[in-house]
Amino acid sequence: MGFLVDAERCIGCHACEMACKNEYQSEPNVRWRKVYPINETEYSLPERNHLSLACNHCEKPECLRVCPVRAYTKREDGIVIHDQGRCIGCKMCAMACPYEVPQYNVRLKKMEKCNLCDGRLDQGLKTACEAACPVEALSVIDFNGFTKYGFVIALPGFPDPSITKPTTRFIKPRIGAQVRRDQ
Amino acid sequence: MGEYPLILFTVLSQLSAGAAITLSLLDYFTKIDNSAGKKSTLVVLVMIALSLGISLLHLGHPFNAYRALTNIGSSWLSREAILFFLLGILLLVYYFQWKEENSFRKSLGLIISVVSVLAVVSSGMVYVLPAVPAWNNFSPILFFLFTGAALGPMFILLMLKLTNGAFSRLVQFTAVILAASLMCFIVYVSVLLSGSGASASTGSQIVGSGIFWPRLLVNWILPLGIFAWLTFKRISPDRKVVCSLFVMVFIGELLGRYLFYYASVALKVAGL
Ligand code: SF4
Ligand code: SF4
Ligand code: SF4
Repeated sequence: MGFLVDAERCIGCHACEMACKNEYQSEPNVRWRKVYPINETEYSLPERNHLSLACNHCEKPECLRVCPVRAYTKREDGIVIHDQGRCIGCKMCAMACPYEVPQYNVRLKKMEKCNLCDGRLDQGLKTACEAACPVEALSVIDFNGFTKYGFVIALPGFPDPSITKPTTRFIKPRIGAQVRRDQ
Repeated sequence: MGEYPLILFTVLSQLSAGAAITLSLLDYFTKIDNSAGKKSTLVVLVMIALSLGISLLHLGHPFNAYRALTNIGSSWLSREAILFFLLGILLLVYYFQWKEENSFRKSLGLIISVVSVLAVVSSGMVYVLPAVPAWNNFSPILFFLFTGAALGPMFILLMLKLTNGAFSRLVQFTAVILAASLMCFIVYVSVLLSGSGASASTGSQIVGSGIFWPRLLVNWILPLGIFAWLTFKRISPDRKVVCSLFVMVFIGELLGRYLFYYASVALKVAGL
């Protein structure tokens, strides 16, 4: 399982971020999902695009490797779960994740991160972020029997996917046609 | 509190590991006064316990720290915790062996040396993370070993009443270690600066930091200058000199560790 983020559709409204915060009532400084602006100079023409990211439920999760208390597990469907009950708040996972995903909850003195709405998915519901997106830019894809093409594994600003092999996939933004006066 | 507990824990634990190695090797190859050896073992043991205690302050839930021993399969943090814990237990046994000639103590000393090296190496491995390019190489291990090798022998020198031969050899050893670590540091920073992305920004954070020059001064320039001057004047250093050198290098290592934690730039999603 992984997120599919359509950067062409996304309008950067942060509704996904807010829906996630609302669903899990996270602390003011904690955001499991974050919407990042893509640097406007990355493409041939300056254009505003956004990247809505949460945990990438990586194939080779660094968080899971470094955690000394085995607070992380990878479910058979690929979801990387963080068990706050075991966490002792050593912050090792935050150092090791290239995407700054695990965040410290100062009240509980423990880490937390997106568990891909495991409870909602198990009930057959959509994730909170997917359900909230007004332009259907987010979805959860199942890699078993996944046959569509045209996705990329990284967009500008997304750290090297070879480290942890994230399962997040992206649809590239289309860069507008140039309007020029004929010579 | 930030990373202060980690700065203290790593420097103190490496100092203790270096001291444990020096003590047990001196005991193996030379003759040490029993009561001085016993006292030094106790001091090293207390320092290890203290450093482990300080490391708990870094945790959100110090009372559940025992759980950190459970993931030796993949977590270097678990391995580090177990090895330092084991080192403490071995030193406790060692402490009770300080009676006349004792071959068990000498063999135990060798095991202590091996465990000390492994403990410091695993401390270094904790920071070998692909997400922090400046650490994702041999450097954390190398510099942690240098810290132990620079501070440990001087510490034991100050604890024991050594004969002149062993004393001056240990002083020479420390000078060589300091010179080698300075060279490695220069190479390391140059390589970072010549890189790109997160490595280059780590390099410029290190060099641009206000404590870069103070660190160079107390950690290397002053101590090495003093060594050079003593050699030139053919003066053999006494305990007072070693004591002030120890204090300088100790402060230098603390500053260096501060830079290690605060100057490192991790990978992250660009934007925002
Ligand atoms: S994105 Fe980070 S926290 Fe999520 S699975 Fe990958 S390494 Fe772990
Ligand atoms: S902060 Fe918690 S989840 Fe993260 S590595 Fe430490 S114990 Fe594991
Ligand atoms: S809710 Fe949809 S459109 Fe709005 S920021 Fe999130 S992904 Fe983009």
